Amino acid sequence: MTVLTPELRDDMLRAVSSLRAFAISLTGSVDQADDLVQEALVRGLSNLNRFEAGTNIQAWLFTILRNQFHTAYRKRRREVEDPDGSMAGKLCSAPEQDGHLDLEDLKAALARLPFEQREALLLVSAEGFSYEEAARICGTRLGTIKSRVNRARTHLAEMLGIEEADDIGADRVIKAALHHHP
Amino acid sequence: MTQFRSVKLLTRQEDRNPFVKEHVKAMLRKLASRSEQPLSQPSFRNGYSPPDRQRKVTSAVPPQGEPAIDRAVQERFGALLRSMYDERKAEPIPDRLLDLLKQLDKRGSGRGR
Repeated sequence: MTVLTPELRDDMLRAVSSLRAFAISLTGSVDQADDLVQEALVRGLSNLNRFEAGTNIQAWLFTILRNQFHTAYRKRRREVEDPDGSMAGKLCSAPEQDGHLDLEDLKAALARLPFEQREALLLVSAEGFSYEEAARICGTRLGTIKSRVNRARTHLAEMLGIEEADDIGADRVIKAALHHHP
Repeated sequence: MTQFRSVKLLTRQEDRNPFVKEHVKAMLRKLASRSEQPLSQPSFRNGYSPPDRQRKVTSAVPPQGEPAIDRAVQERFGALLRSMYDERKAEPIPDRLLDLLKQLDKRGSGRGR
């Protein structure tokens, strides 16, 4: 049985802002995200005996949150796969072709991705989990995660009308972002 | 008007024929320079990538049989996503979560060592 040690508690507290960022990006709604985070923490605490000491508690909490989201979402989801990007394509509207791409454009495009691609991209590219960790969190194979991340990027590039890195690079938001993450 | 219709017709063929696609692009450019109406670029939604981009593709992890986007684009996307994430991480945590965290804090210090 895993006991909530001060170290484990601190790790859980530290995970909260990441869990929130993930949940907000996943659902597009702060309220819904906070519900998910709250439930994930409560469930995590009451199932602490299932947590394997020494493993990554952050990844474990992400798994709980992700599974909750899917349980809630499965009821209303109609499309599981979007093999040729038809869903993203239908909703496509490229931003103004003036070389400017900001965070709002990205958020709007992200919301249009099939959610399995969205979660894969968020876990790997935004949160920085390895492909292996992301596959474990999503309960799928490594190749599937790689494929989803790749398709997510391709869809985003299409939706945002990006063909080259310079299409993004012109914007000052990106310069600021690169400055923060050299 | 007939010009627009022919562009539309050609756009459908673009995936099958790269030469048609180049032609469409040229026509769109020509029309765009004449008209105020914004014209969107034809995209490569059905998995077709034009030859000039295929050469540049260098994915860190190329999944089997799928076209990957330019490595530099991937990196810029990553930076953009992280900056979106940082913005969201910096948002204030609401009271109901803070209350829960306080309980967690108490529980943690009461146990353990």
